[in-house]
Amino acid sequence: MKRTIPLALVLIMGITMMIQFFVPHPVSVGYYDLTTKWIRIVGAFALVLGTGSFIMFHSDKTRRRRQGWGYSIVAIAALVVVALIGLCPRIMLWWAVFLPTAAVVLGLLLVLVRSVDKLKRFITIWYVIAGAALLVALAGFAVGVLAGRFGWRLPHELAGGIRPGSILQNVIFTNFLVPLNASMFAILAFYMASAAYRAFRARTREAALLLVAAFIVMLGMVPIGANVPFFWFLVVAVAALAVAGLVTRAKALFIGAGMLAVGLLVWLVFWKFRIPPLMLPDTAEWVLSVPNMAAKRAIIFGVALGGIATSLKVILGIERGWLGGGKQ
Amino acid sequence: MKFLSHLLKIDRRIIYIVMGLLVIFPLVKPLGLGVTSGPRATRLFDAVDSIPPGKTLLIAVDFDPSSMPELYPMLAAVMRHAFAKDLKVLLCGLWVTGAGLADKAVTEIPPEYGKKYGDDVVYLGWKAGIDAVILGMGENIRNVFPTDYYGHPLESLAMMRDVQRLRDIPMGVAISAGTPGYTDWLNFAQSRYGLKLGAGVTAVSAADAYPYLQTGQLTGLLAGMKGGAEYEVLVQKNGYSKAYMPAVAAMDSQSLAHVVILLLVIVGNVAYFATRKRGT
Amino acid sequence: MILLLISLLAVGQAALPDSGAVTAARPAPPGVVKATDTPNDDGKSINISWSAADTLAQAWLVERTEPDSVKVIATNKPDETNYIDEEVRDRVRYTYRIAAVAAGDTVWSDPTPQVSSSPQFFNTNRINILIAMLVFFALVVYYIETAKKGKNLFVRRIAGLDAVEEAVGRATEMGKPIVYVPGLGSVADIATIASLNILGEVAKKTAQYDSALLVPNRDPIVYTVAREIVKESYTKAGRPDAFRPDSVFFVTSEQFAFAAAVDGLMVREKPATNFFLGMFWAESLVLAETGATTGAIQIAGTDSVFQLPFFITACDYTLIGEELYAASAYLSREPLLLGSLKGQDYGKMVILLTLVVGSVLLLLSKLPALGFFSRIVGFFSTR
Repeated sequence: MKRTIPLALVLIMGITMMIQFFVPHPVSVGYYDLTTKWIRIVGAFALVLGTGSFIMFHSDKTRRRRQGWGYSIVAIAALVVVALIGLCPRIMLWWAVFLPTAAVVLGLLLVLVRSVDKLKRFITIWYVIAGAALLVALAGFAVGVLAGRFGWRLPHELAGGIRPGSILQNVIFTNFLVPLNASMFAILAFYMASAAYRAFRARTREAALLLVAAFIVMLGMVPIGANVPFFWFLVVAVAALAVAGLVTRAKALFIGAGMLAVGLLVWLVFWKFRIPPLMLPDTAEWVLSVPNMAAKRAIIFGVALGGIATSLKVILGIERGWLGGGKQ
Repeated sequence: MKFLSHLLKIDRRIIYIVMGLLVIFPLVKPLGLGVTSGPRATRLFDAVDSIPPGKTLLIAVDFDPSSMPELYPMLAAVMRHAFAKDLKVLLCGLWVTGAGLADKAVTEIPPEYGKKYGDDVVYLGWKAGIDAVILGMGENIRNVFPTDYYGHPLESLAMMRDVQRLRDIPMGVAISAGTPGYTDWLNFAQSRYGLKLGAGVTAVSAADAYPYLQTGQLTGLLAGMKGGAEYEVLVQKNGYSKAYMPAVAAMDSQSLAHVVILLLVIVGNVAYFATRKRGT
Repeated sequence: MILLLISLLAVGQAALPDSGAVTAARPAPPGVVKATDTPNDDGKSINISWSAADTLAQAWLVERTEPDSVKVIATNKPDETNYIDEEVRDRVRYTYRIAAVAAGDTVWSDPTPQVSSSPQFFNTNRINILIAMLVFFALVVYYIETAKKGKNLFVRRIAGLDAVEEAVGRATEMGKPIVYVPGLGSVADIATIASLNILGEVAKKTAQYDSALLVPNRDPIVYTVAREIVKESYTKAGRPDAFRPDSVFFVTSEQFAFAAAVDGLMVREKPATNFFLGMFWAESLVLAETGATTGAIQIAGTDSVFQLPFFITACDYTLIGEELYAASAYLSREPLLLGSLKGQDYGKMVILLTLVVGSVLLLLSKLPALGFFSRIVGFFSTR
């Protein structure tokens, strides 16, 4: 029963949604709209589960003093503060600044008091401070709610709400979220350098081809390579291969340099000893839009078919891993 | 040789430091490598340039803070171009995390041209729904956004009196970091309501947009920070703006970063071949 | 004399050019006005199209006549000779007229025959998709039936999946945990479902070898499903006591915050093995490279063509595209799953053949006598 109902639901919903795709009738369209609304509602409930898991995980980590437990306190404090700010439509500005500051300071004090033996006797004082801070916070919250309810005119500094463009939103969004997200994204640049250095070795012919394409695209896509004829790029490549061959005494590099040099000579003859007008950026564009696109499309075809087959297996109940591990 | 073996195992931290220094240096002391505008950016520029004064340009802000360095300069450049041409600018978005960025643009850029919120620029905000939002805007913008992002009813905004639906807007530019993004605007706004559409995308997903350019579905494309830099250069060259060009400044850093990566790859391969030859 | 004067005046008048009043030419009425129910829609829409009889019209007016009113519903530019009326009610009869407007003149066409809109029950534009779907389903079902009869179905070696056993064994030997990231997608994404199937197999192995397993999640629903899968796997392996509920946990829904959290986990816990299987976006290299710095063996798989290059560069094994979907069949070797994998592969062959044949037909359609080939190829395009 525990598995039969979900399987039956998946079968019915899968088949009806397949049929819906082909039927433009308003009943069918209405059914589609209804299911998409259901998906959003279920997702909202799932967020509650996720938040519960988050709090349990971090509080357990704090309680057991596992490695990095201090960060768990910060994580829970951030969740509580930002959730409160988001849920309350009008908050008094000074209280909204006071609350996160107080929460962080109190949290750190608690960590200190409970970790350092000599400070353990101050735990009672901590409770008193925390209690007072909580009372002040509640009072501020109450004033803010009542001001909104009864239309009290409060001074601007006290009445700053969290409508768009407010100072509070700027503090959280512009000064926290934006720099943190941008920093994480910026790490990619450094990681690309170290990953490229570690992995881009011409171990095989295919890897060597990949290297050549990488060179062309990386130089062609930036201003440095913007006005470089592809011909000169290849001349430099021949010279580099020859030098590398000399240094390492690797025959393969000499052979590669020789073959490339012959190819360049033929090309030059074809252009009657003028520099061929093909530019590096144009070559890079070609690499991106032709071979790269062809390979991507091939993968996309496979992925699409694999997706259809997996969906069919799930709908027909052949694939049951998502139910909870293993077959019945 | 021991030296070559060391070259094979350069400490990551040295790579990061070199990379960091070479990225920061051009930001402090620009190298002046220059940016030339490519055909795709020029196509978008010409399309925006040809919109008659007084008409509205729609800009979809479909990116978040992580893509801000790449895409925000595009947004700023397009807005400056529009204001210099006396176009009205209507912003909206399909990404909730883009709301703050659009708000920042609406706060910072219009005053440079003496433009007023409500008369020359309006930010509708964000709504969940993607296709429902775009299709709804195609019928009546007020059905989807009865008020703007700041809570003003659309009827109270002078600019919105002439803009009821997507057909009243001659062109849109979708600046997207992923999905939802320009493909949704293409599928719903362009194919159904005939909205002429340009796009600004991250460099990683630029190649995917090329087929749409070839078929004419997209009128111009800004690909990554380079695309943003090209548009900034076009805007400055035509005398529409004298503002600082962050994408152009960053292109010097990007050039050096690429060169560093290439040098590291060369060094690694040389060391690899040398040590392989010697059986170490 | 007077007669001569009159005749001279008449000749003079005739000889004089038309001096001041230039009368504009009247536009011709629109030709062939057609009003039809919009096909393949949910009703409440009528297509009106017409042709321009000359180039004098400066605008077109579209007038709708319904049972109780007549009104002009649209004004079109001269080059727009069609209009979709979406303000109609189903099963109500309407007629339409089009007027050509030029310099104050309005010339109306004859009214169209009565037309009414109605919803359709089948979108004929999607017949090609239906046929393709049925062909593909038939192939999959055929090979499933073939597998049920006990026929041995060959599947090529997938290095990344062969390495799963080795990777779990490595973690056991080193006494370090395994980190399994089921991607950043939701449970509606096929890649996530494929990843969760693999998680079941990995969890069974970790239960058997008594290794620690950590499964951070970005999506709350995926978290609940993953937890049940791991719990069930431990039970099936006969080790329900070894399952730790906090080994599967929800981190955050924010993309880079999740990446930062997983990075921190990898740096602190120093796992022996990392699995990155599912849907990933820009954080893929951040995760993979951080994992590489900790010295872990890494197996990755995603269906995102943008992130595959990063995983290939930074990970030891990468499942490319559909290899991720093949994983559950490959690891379990169940006949039904293998059969569907075969059917999927043959479906790809059909597409390949269609591509080749279609390209040839399209080329040949450029020849004068073979133009109809382009209509055959057109059948395969989506509308």
